[in-house]
Amino acid sequence: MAVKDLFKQELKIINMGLESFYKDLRSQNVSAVQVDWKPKAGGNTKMASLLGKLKKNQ
Amino acid sequence: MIKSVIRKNAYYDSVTLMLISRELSKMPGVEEVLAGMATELNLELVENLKMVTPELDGLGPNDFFISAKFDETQTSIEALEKKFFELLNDKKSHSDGQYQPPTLSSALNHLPGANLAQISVPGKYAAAEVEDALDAGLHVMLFSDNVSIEDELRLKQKAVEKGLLMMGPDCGTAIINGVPLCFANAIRHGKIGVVGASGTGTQEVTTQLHKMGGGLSQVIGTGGRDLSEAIGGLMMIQGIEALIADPETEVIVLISKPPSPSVADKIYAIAKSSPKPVVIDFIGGNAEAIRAAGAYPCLSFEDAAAKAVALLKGEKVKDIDGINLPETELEAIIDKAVATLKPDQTDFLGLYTGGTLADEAMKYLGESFPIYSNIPLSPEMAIEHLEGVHGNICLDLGEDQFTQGRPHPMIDPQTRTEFFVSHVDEKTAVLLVDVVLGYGSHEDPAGAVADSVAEIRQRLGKVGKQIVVVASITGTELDPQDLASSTRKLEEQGILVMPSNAQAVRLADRIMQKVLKGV
Amino acid sequence: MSNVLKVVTIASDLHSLLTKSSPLQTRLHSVFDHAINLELDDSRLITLLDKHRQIVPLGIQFASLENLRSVEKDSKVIIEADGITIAGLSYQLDTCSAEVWDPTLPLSRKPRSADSLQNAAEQLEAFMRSKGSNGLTDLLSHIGESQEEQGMVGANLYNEFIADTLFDFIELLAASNWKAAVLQSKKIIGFGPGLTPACDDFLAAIMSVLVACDIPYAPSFNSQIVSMAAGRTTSVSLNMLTHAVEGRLPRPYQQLLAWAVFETDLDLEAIAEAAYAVGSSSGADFSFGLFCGLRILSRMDETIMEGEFA
Repeated sequence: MAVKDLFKQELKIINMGLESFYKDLRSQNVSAVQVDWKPKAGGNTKMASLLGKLKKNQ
Repeated sequence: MIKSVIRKNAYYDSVTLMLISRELSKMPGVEEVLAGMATELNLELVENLKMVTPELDGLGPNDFFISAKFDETQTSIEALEKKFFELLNDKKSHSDGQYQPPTLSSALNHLPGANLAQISVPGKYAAAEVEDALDAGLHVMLFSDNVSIEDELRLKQKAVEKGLLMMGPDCGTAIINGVPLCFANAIRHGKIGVVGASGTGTQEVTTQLHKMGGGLSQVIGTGGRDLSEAIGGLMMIQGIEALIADPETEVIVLISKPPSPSVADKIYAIAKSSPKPVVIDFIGGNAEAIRAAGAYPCLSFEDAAAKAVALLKGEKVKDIDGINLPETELEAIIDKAVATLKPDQTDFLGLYTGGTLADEAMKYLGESFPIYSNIPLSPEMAIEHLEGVHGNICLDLGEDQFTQGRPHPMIDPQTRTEFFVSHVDEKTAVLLVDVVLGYGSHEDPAGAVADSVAEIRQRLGKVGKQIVVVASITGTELDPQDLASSTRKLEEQGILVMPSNAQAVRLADRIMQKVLKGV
Repeated sequence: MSNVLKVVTIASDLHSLLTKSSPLQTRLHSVFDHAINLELDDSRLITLLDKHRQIVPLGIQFASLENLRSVEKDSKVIIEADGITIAGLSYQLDTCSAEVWDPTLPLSRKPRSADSLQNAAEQLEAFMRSKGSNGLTDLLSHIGESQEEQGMVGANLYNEFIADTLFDFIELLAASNWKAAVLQSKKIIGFGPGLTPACDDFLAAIMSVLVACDIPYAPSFNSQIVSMAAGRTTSVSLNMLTHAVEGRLPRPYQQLLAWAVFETDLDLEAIAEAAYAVGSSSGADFSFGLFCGLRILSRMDETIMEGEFA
């Protein structure tokens, strides 16, 4: 969905990281969800790339 | 010692049970804890571990038990039971009790129609998350820094291909569809569109144009490195094109540190062919080249805002320079300020939380007198070690060296508070600060500054000295912090509050000139 | 305070029950942050949920449970198709935009081939390993394809205790030794941490894979397991197992099972993440059971399947 389409829509935001950013959005009644983020594969980067390969192969 | 706690006919959900097990085993003196439902096999395990107690007799599968092996000199069953009780009553609190999905994909399931991902995870994981977001067709606001330039290029190319925004890495400010993202102010809606590579510079321009009666259509961030040779201005270009195509936008403003020459040329080319007027603030950039492109160069963030508003209103575009006060009044203020100082007070100290505001200060003041800085105008004026360095100093406290393991000073004033104490001394004449309001910022940055200045006045007062403090507030009356009371708090401490960073910098300069040269 | 409760989702089994046998007299069984269980006379549980939990068999999901949670255990709750009386107050149920969800498996879909099942098992294994140590998944280091310990932290007390018993059970099933497997299940049911003990989630996965793949002995085997379960496990878990016997699962498990067993273009990750979000380790335990179930199927011999329970 191109930028010009974004400008016509209601923002619905997925926030990943600092929770204060999510809280600021909610305080303005912006639709948002906070991701309970953890590094992929628990921070094990070899596993993360293996998982990445799996997704592409499907 | 081995003891048990039991609750008959008790149903605790699994997450609570897990929490209980985990937290109780962490308690000092606890060797082993089993917490669960008293099914036959679970009790068999307890027996196997030789942790059976009489209380477990006669329990059934719907009864809850905790069996603990612990050192009775360090803890007691009562302590364990108390902790268990606390854990039961202390609900695992997410920010507003809302579900927090564990991944982007589950978040997409949870918020159908999501159109933007705002990412501020640690740099080394950020690229993978951005990739997934772009693959899912989301626009991206990337606050994280420490993303490699190769990843930035690859991801921006992907974004451009898909017609998506990728604002960042290291993008602190954007306002899309009127929604402030990360560090941004609440600004009235209007017809000026901004593409900014510099966070607090964008905040200053947008709050200034609000003060001047203008309004915003969109503010697109690009991240600090977008206009480098390697990235080639990918997002700035996409942003400009989007604003040209946007029916709401009538005037376009670009904000960045000077781009690499080839990138600057690309931008001039677009500006030249733009049907809408373009104001270009390349913070000290090539004014002639900008004019040749049919665009409007700027002297400061305040000037950029004024030019945009003038263009919007169809008024004559003027350079906004100097200080917005009649000269006699200005001289009176300067004289009064200097009169409070003793002859041996000759140092200038600038303590900034906003990076590009600090840049603006350095550009101007550095021409006037030599200033040591962590963002120096020339290498020999770099600050290597701050202890024992005297003379004129201007610091960007948001730079990496000051934010290792600490929150950014816009979020937490503590870092700057420490510098007020350590670096304002009996030789300090003028102190210059910024106060940045808006979303993302601390709840009362003005209050923190006012308290520090009160402390300074008291401390220096004991040796019969005073200092001159100059400040500006980057904010609007719509911001979550109260602009009016912020101004009042600063003024109550005898701080000279100027209407813009540019004017605050010029006033500081005029005062320093008087101090140093008597003029 | 509004007396209308907006229904977001309702399980079709509950929907039919309410349509046929309204009003239902129930007893309040248990209250949690995001769920309330009501017990029917026949011990089945109806589950009221809010939006923080995924829908389950005999479940009904409201936008919010706020008004309902201040209710005494054992108190009477009456529920019918368009209303509920709880804590003495009557509420209307607004079902006009409710989704009706079928908790049973989509058995009309095309099942995967043997090779494809193997591939699904490998993908599921990779996913579980990537999530690190969680419930029974530690035991992957014993039976997975690779012997690498990556992400698999040492077994916990529960896993150490049950590992051999669990593997014996898996071997018996793989050899289609049904009778012995039923007896072995006695040493597994009700074991493990959680309100639905870890091994019960494991068994639920095994039983539902057998039903989904239409294994001839599955109904008989499964019902024997469940009759063994009465008195050996928590009432909440028994309720879950009773549904699983007949292939009815909570939605995230249903989707994961469907992914594993039927041909699909869907991405595993989002589905598996949703399953993992159930309970504390329940999702991981179910996933592990599903993985073992897929491995069992791939080792079962056609001729042996004619055997024991003829």
